[in-house]
Amino acid sequence: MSHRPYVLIAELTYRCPLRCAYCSNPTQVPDRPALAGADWQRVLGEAAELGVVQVHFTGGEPLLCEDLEALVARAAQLELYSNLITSGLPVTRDRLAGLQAAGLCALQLSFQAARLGSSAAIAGVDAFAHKRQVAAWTRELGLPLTVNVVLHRQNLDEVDQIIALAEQLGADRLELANTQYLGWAYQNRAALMPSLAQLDAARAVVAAARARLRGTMEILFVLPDYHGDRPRTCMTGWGERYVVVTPDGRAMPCHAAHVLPLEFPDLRVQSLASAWNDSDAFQRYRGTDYLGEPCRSCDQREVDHGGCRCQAFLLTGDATAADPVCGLSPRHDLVVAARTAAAEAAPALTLRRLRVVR
Amino acid sequence: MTAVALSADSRPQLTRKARLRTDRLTGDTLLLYPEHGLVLNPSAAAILRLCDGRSVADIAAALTAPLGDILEFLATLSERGLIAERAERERSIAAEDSGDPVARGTPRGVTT
Repeated sequence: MSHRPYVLIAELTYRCPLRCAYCSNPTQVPDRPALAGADWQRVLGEAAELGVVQVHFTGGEPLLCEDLEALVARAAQLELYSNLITSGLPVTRDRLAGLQAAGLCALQLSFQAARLGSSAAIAGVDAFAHKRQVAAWTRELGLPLTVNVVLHRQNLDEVDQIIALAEQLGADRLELANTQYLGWAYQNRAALMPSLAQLDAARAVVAAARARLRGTMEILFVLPDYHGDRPRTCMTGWGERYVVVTPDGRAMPCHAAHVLPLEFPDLRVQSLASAWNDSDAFQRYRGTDYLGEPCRSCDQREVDHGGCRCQAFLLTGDATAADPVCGLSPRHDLVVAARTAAAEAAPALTLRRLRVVR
Repeated sequence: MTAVALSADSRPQLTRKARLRTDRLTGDTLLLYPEHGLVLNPSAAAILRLCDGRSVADIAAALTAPLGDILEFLATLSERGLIAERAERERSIAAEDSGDPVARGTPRGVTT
């Protein structure tokens, strides 16, 4: 039994000033009250007891959560390494300094593009200038800065400019994550999916930059699984190392698991320990026993666990199936068809909006 | 700006993004930094706990460990921007704290 949560992903709110078409948040959110600040405090304590050592405050936009400062302080008290994953909107230098004083360890700031004027199409607003300011404040305050850019067809050709921007901003780390087609991104898949030629070019640019910037700025480049022939090990395994808590207090093994027809534990009435150890949702896809063929007899099954459960369900309707991005999946044709459709069409983007289901 | 080579005279310290703590479940020493964590073996933990401003030579003497091994370990952390020379780190912080616009936008960690 090796599963222990090391990382808590705390989604403090679904609200966000940006409307990114690639967002992995649910396209419809349940009409449930937000988890109360006192409950979040308890969840942090339970997480630390279970073995969590890092907490990512995210959302939506975590800065919209009034309890953020208190939660950062609680994380510091518990010796959790706290990371604020933010659009930088809305924040002032004073609030950043306050968060740092409360014990915030690091900040991850999203950018949508490398320059002014090209973010509105993908995010609904162009906050580029403000984001630059937030990055400068972060550096002035001495907080470690990660710049995060989600890559897709519209910005992949700018990856050299994005790297230059991150260098100029003094980022310690640059996360270049190709879009995962879940949530809003799934709805926009055909418009977001890049060509293989675009990807190959970007990969070469990143490799050169990585060599040049070694020891100065770490560059993470997450390849899109739709263009590979083997699936990724999603979240390093279902319920193995990560736990997500949604704004309404559900515990999930992955931030995209809301697509699955599972009953996720409600932390308003249940402890995180019982959710992690005993709930059906966390045990359902732990390990590899649930996998059928072709995964069961595959020599990679302990490596990739058959890929992403959410993607398997989204594409095939069966969450125990092989992730169709795998070339060995009997439904790999679905991924090939999606690539072909994306190459042939250029549909308009549907920007994210908050849809509450009653 | 690249990672500088460490020598016996270097005085390495953790950079601000890196935090050492004891794991409450196992008692192991953890080195945490953005999006990552390392579980340190006892000798690695002992080295990092002595990175308090003293020289690498002094660390080796205190642990009665081969200097070459310690330098090799510290080099791997330097490449990840997790340790820096003390003097440079202080200079970098001082420049930032004074609001020196030249220092702004300069990545912390190992500076040239």
